[in-house]
Amino acid sequence: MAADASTNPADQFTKFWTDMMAQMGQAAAHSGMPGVAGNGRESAPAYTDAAKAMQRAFFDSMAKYFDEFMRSEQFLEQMKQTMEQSIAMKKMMDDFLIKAQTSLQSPVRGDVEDLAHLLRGIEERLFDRLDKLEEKVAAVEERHGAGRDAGASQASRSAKPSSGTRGAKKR
Amino acid sequence: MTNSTMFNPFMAMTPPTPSMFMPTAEGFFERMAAAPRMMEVAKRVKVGATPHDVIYTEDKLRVFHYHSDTPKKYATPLVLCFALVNRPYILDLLPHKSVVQQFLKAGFDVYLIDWGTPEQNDQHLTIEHYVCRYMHNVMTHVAEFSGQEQVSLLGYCMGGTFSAMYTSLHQEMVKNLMLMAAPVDWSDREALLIRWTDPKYYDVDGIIDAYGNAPTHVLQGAFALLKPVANLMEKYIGFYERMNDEKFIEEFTAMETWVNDNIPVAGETFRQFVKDCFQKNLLPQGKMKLKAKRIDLSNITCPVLNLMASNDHLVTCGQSAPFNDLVSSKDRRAITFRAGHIGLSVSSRAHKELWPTVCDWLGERSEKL
Repeated sequence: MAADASTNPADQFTKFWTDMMAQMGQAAAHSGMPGVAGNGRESAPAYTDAAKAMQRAFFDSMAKYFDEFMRSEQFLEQMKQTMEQSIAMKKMMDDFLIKAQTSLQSPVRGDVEDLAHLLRGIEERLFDRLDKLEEKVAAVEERHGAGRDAGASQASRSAKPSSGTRGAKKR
Repeated sequence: MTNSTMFNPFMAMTPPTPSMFMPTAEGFFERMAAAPRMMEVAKRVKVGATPHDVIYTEDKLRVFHYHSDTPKKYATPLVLCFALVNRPYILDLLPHKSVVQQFLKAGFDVYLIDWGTPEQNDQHLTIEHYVCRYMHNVMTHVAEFSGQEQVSLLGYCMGGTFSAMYTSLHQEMVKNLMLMAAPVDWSDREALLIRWTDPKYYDVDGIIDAYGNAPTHVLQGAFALLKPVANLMEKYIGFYERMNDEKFIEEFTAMETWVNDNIPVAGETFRQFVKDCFQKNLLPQGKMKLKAKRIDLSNITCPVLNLMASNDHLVTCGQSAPFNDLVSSKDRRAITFRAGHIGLSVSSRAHKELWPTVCDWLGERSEKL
């Protein structure tokens, strides 16, 4: 069965080549490449300009076709497969290392990550509780009229730092 | 009619020869002779060199406060917020290509957030941590440090998205908001990155579950592939052609230092950003939630300046432009500048034409000293 013209690699390559040649031919003609659509401006600098213009046309053409290819189903499928293989490879390596480290009775990456996660969870809960306490204190201060002076209004401002600053260093 | 002016169809049809696309041999020896001197120039290049103090740290985050010989004209401090991908010194790349210095010379009090490099134990950090905790603490601290109630905020790329989210939650803290090539709407399915992150092809869960953080090689590979011809071919030809030009070598080295100074992105943040923004486009629909609070961009009422780059291959104008229609600000402006994503901060043209305009815009809306 004949391949569809839009997916046939030979047709695609021919189209790419024809487009590129046409663009380069135009670039050469416009910039006075010797022997191309003679305009009497040919000289060494003109030749360099023409070569540069052709180089530009070549790169623009390449870029256009790369862009089209990278949007194609074919590229996206290849990207997906490469990613799946790389993930599978990483998991295989990790499994191997976990088994090796477990048999040596040493902690594995997952243990450290779990610990970090646990600590972050504790930190989050603490910060949330502190935020709520701060809100309550601010509300109490406001009720007792302390909110009228400048210091208290600063404290009760909604711009009050998030509890995370407790772990922060001010310099 | 001379021979040279005659039309030669064979010349037009001749297949390109390698020499046509390779750098010219002209000046080869001159370039090679200049190589040792250029190595010295490259070694001397120092990025992010504007003098600064670290005024605040929290976990891996640091806030820089820049020094300047120019007397300050404005009391409202300015905080620069870069993306989590790559390092923030792109905003202070070289003295003559520094957004930081542009603002300092215009008389602003400038601060920059350096998010630091996430490690394996930071993989659980989410957008909530960055926006609701770190950003809020930085903004509050800068306000206190400068003795001001409000702060101006400039967010670049993903840092711009975070800045928009932050402002919608804490409008009272932000005097002026400037976004720079910041995506806020991912509905344009034709943008290459959006296409690549389509859930049909892109298994973000698989990547983060396997690697913990979004690995640098995945991120950088994707960014390089967005413009393969420019990044993998033209760049090196351009380098060869100008390798005896000291100024070019200085800028090339600085740029390459930044491009290759890659950092991972905290896993959960990356997962959340890809899913909620790239795949579900929740932010412009007002459906994105941080700490159970809905991010409603219409809460933003301060003056807004939206800077976009017309040749941006990473964040298209279509991803940034809708922002001005989503906010409630009466004072809003959009500038589309002819540059690329990075060119917006480092191109000579941007420093000559764009940044003075931005400084004027901000100056008109800042508290004067």
